[in-house]
Amino acid sequence: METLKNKKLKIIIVDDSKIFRTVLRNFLQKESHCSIITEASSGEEFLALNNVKSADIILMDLQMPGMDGYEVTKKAIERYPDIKVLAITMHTEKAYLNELMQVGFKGCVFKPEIYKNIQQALAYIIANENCFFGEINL
Amino acid sequence: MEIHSPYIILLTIALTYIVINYFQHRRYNLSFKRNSHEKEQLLESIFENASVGLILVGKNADVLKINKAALEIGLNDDKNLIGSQPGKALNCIVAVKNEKGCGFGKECKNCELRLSIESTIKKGTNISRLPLKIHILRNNVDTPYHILLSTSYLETIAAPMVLIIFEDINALIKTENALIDSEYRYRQITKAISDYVYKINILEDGTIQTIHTQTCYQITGYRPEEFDSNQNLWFDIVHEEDKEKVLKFVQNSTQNTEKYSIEHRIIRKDEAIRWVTNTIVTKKNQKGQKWSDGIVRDITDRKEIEAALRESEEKLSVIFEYSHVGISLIDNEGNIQYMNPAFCKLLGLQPDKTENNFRLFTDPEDAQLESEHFESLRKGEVTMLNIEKKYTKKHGEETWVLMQVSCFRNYKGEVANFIAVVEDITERKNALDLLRQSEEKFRNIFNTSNDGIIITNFEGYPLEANQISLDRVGLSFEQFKKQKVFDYLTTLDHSDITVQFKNLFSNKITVIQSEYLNQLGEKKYVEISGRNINYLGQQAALLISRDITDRKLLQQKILNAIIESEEKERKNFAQELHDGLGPILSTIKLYLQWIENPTAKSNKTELLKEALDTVEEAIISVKEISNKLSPNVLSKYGLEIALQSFVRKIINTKNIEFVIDIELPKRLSPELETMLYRVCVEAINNTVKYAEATIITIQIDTNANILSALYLDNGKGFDVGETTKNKSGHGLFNMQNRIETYGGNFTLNSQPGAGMELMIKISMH
Repeated sequence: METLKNKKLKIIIVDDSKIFRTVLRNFLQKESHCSIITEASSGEEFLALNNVKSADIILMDLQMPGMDGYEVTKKAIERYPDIKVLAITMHTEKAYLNELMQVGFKGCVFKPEIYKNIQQALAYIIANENCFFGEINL
Repeated sequence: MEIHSPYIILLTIALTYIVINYFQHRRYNLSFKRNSHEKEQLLESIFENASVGLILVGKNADVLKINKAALEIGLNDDKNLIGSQPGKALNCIVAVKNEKGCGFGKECKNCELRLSIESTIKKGTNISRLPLKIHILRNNVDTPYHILLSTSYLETIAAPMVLIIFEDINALIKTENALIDSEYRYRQITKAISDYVYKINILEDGTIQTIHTQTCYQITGYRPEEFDSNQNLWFDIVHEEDKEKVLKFVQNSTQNTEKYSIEHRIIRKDEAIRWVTNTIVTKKNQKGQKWSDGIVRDITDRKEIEAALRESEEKLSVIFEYSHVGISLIDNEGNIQYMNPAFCKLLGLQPDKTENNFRLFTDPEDAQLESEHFESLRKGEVTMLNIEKKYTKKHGEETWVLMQVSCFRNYKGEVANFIAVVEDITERKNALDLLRQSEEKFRNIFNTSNDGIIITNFEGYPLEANQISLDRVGLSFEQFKKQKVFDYLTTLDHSDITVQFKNLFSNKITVIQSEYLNQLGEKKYVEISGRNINYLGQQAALLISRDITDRKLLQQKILNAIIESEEKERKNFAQELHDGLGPILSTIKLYLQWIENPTAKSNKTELLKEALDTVEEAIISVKEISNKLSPNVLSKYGLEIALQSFVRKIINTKNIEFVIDIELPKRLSPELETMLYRVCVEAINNTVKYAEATIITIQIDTNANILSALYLDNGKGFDVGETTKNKSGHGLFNMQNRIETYGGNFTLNSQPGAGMELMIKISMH
């Protein structure tokens, strides 16, 4: 939380739902000392960005038309190994969780619980700790 | 003929008396001794010279004394003419045969001569002139010998004796036989004379006087005297119808000296009508006197035979002429001597041509065999030939005939003629051929059918099975028939099958579906239809089993596809709910939680507005999903509006032109509407996804209860065969299934670079 106070976190949101992107942007910018530097509505759009490296954390939706979140993240990590990607998903099953870790996600937040968990997740990941809230629902 | 010579009787009585007295006096009455010597000599002489055979025997049939005549009969063997020494007496035939005969041996117990003498010796019974026929050997020839036997039992003081008297009657017998013969012959001759002779005197005044001989009685029944007393009688007895003819005949014959003959009828005295020939020869003496000799012969028997013959000939001739079977008379060289019209017609011959030879109609291949047959008939080895053969008529028509040949023989036993009776059996043969062909045809069907055909008995044991039935289970028929047919089926409920099988015999046609294991142990499905039939006189079941394994598998595949496509759709909707509606609801939740815990930075009014907008979004999303699940507009407004509504969404995003032309007189059934809508949507989705088309055309109309739907796109097309094989053809298979389960017809045409055409035809019934 210290870090959050000192410096605004630079965030990229990747999600096909415009409504969700909007609410997330508003919430994070107003309540969590974050700066949403870019939004992408699909994986392809995200991979085409040139400011990925400048983001502190990437919020990645997993279910998208076209390339899904796993694939996009895998490719992004290949390209920029240092990036930190937090999965934002409707799926909470353990099988997804294992796969998320394998791909290299730093954490996972369940969409309906975003209000409750997002700030903690961001704090953990910035502190280089993994934070998989999905486990709670298992 | 009676042989009764008084002389012989007297002599016999006298002799007996003398002999008896002789012995009595010689032995017991010594008072006569003075004269005895003279008497003895006299008796000896009489005894010796008597013309009848005399033998005096003792109690043991031993010969005491025998005279010349007797010896002659016994060929001068004085010791044992009749005696105790076997094999000698009378040289009888039995004795010669086995050396044991006579002499009262066992072999002679039925000899009448012996029995007679024996009975006199033992019982004292005298026999008088018993006619006997004995067999004796004379010069080693068995000679029957006729005698009359008399015996006389003589009581003496010392020992009883028997006098045996033979009278040789052979000569008499011979005479009698001769007389019988001559009498018989005479009788025959008199019987045979049926002619009688009469004489006609033509008197000076021209009147006729007839004189009839005795035999006129046999022919006319009238005696000569009756003819004498009634000079017109000879004419009166002539049959009314013949009178004129006879009168003319008499006039002619008595005027000329030639021999005239006429056959006419007479009425006999007993009123019987008799046929006679009357022959008259008229003669003239030097004085110019004329007379005629007439002979009348009864020819009624001949006439009757002639009439019978004529009748029989007529009958035969009718049979010959009008018989529908061909009859011909053939000589030894095979030339046809006579043939009836049926024969001509049958073999296509000209009746008047005499050069017809039987061999001309014989196939050269059959000739050798046929001549052998005729030869065995000629030799009498067979009495009749039965030959079936094919004739080729002159104009080439083939005729099958059954020919029966027999033969007439002359008095020497040689074959005079063959008679051939020929019957046309072409029709029968053809019918037989047809039957054989039909049998072959059905046998062919039986053996080459793709369906198993099995005939079973009442219990279900196989009586016949075609090859495919046997191949299915990999058994020979011998093995196959050991089990009831339904024991091969692996269906669990056998009792049901048994009931169905029994039903079959109450004339119900039964169809069952079942399973069996083939020779590789694979499960196969069969549909068995059965009915009862009459098989070789017994009630049987005809079972036809069709392999429906492929059909079953296809049905399963279709079912799987339907399940799969339903599953896929469910998955789509699940995903839509989860991924589409989920985030929106999550957003709303976030707003609400935010509003619940306001911070300095957050504007509550603003957040509420955002939340409300998102709820609105959720409602729209729910509507969309619901519409995809079951298009509301389809059920409410029908196929055309629903499709246009669907298409409108696509036009918004894609650059595709739609031409939709739907002409339906009324709304289709909800099921058919839904099915067509789904097929169109699927087709549009495919085109949009893969085809890069710019125009999509949909035409739907009905004609005579047939609904036709045409879907066209001008996209890049695809290889139909290739596509349906791999997974990308799933959508196509899905469409096809929907249509075919509805009983419709689905045709797809496409090739790379040439767009796609889809034709659907569905019967509206």
